[in-house]
Amino acid sequence: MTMITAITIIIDAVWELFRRGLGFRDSAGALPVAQSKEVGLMKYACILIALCFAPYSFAGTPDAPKSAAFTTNDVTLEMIAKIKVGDATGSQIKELLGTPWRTNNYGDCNVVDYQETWEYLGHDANGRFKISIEFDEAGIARIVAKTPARGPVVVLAAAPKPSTQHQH
Amino acid sequence: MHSLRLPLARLLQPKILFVLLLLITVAPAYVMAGDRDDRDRDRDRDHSPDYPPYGSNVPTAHFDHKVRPQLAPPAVTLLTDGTGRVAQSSWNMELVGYDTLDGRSTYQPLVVRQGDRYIAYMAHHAGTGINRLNGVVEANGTSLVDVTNPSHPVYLSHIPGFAGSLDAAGNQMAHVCSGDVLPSSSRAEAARKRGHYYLLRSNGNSSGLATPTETQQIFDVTDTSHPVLLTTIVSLLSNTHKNWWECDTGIAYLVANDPTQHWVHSGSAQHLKIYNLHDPANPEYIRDFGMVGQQPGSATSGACTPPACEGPATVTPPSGIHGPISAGTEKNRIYMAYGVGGSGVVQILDRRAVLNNCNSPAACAVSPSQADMLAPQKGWFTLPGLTLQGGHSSFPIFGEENGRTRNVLVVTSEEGGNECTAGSAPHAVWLYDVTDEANPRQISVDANDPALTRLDVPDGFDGTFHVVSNGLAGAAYSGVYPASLTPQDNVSNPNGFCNQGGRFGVHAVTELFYPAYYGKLVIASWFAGGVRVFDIRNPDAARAIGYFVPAPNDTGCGPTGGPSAGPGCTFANTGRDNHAVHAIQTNNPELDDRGYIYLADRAGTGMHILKLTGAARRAVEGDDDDHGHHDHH
Repeated sequence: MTMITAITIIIDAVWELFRRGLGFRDSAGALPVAQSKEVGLMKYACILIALCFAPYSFAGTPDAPKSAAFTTNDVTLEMIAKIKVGDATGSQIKELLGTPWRTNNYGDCNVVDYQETWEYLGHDANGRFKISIEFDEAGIARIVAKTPARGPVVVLAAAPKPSTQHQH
Repeated sequence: MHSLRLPLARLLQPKILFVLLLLITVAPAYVMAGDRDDRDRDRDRDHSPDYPPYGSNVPTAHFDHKVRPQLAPPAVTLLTDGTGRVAQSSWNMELVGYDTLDGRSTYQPLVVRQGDRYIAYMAHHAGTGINRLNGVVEANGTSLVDVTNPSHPVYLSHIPGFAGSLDAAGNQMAHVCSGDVLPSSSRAEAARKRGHYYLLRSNGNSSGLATPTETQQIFDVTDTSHPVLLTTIVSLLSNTHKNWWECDTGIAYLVANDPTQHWVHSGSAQHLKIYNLHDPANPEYIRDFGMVGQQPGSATSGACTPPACEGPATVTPPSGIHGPISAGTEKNRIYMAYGVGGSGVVQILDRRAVLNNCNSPAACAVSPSQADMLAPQKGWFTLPGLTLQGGHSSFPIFGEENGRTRNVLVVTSEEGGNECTAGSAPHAVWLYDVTDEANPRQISVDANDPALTRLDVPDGFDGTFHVVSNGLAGAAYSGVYPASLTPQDNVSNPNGFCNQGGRFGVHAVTELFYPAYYGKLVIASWFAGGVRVFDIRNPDAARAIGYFVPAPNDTGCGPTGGPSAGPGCTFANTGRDNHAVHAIQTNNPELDDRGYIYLADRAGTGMHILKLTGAARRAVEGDDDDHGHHDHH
């Protein structure tokens, strides 16, 4: 439905109340021809006025967000079990699980333990869970953890920390 | 009613009625249109503050020497879900508003009065997330949020970062200047900039690539819903970090490194690249600058002995800068914090000497001599613990006490490891009296604190530190975390902030020279410890006076982005022994010119908007009636 259509419908309804309230009709309920022309003119004038006001009625929300659908890959624990921590690269994980729902890289000018994290979403009998995969600075998956709908994070698999890390 | 209706119908013929209706409706419309024109004009008019970084009118702090009681911060509360995490906890601070920022990891908040609105520029770490406005997965960049009503932030737009390697991405830093405040070299330039706002942001951080990809960018953000890339100031950089932009002069101190110029640094490989951005579309390069010993041709190893490095550095070559703060033209000083989280040095520079002694196109602009590097230096100092603490932030407070000049520098280090890494020091805030710039001295010393300062936060929920001595004496002494904290990794019975997965320790302080808080409060982010507020009205006896620890976001990141029901926004961080926790990580705090405090969270928890209450509020209002009274929410 366009904005103009909506405004026209509203104007029609208001006009109808207005017309009936002021008694612009004969005993048979019909309007004289001359009068109905003027009434018709008024009706269009009202529409015109309403259109003039339309921008003001929307002026308060110029930045209203629009929404759009997005669906993520739903991973299973069987798929997660195939990740070889300490060996798997990001591209291998992407091949296995698809594009992550969200990623993060804390890399700034300081030492960080595991600076890159990918997240996937899945469902099991207990509801939604989140899978976090943390990478070392060489881009190797070191930790795979599951966050259930409630309760603490459970580390599903972990590989020993690399012996050296370089500073940025 | 019928008898009244007919005469009324005769009197009010449709034509007359039409005219009346027109008058009733159209006239107010014209009045409204007039109001709207006024509003538009008001929106266009610049309302930037006149203090740094927007102007050079530095407030004067009025320090005192009153003996105020040291307050004991109340313990935080824990969530009841068995995870052992800290629940939202506060002391003399109150949450006003919140936005998820689509779960993006965020480094820095910057809140700008832009016409008649307040816009928060939330600068993100690298990563990806779903933009709630279009449903598209976008590389993290800069989120623009209307915080005019801080209780109801409105997400306006997201300027994506560049895609590709996450190592090379992120837009962590933001500064914004009004075209009406930036100086102009011609009437045409002034006319072109009138009513416009410009965002300076770092693009990328530290890819470590052979051919680096980091840049510094300018966006026209006049239309906050549709920002436009104006220009790339400089590209092919290997590092970027915390810039500073003087809006009243246009001078921008960009933190970066161009590896082809052969500057040398330890740790973070970055120094200053100074530009005049008075006309943001046409950047004018001035010079490179940093710590003496970083200029091309300097030693890259061996002992640091004067005059080669003139004493400041604790490592060769000297550590890279984290970020400068300029006090502008009036005070003519720049404060430089080097080292980030280790081997820290703070340097005080003569601003005019930096800007005028060696300008492009002279060779010394890119490759200065040792004398060129030393010429602007007015003073320097190292931090307690020497190599264990770094220079992250250095915020100057110009003031007086009993009618005599007293200038203080607030300095922070940065915690870099998760869960209080063994052998690392508790990273803290220090106050230095820099009235005599050649001889800075630490004040508010606490000999019982592992970082020797009153501006510290114990890791234990019981208000104690779980540290041991590093075995050194004098300036090198520091408390350090042991190999094992007890009860180690017991999530059901955590003993402190070192059990929350991510980092715990200081990171940054607010950098707006906001007069109402200037010289009264230090507001510092403490990662898992949230934001911490210290009363420094008596700078020799600073004291804790407030905190706010946000709750982790476990369910509020919608599957299509934004703050709707879905998976949690807060990322997991993993600490000792693969101990993973979804806990908050307050990264940077910042103020607006109304006194609201904005927090950015590096663990993706979002943006928190706070206000001061209780004793903290009374402190800025000059009320001392706090005698140990606690306002605990």
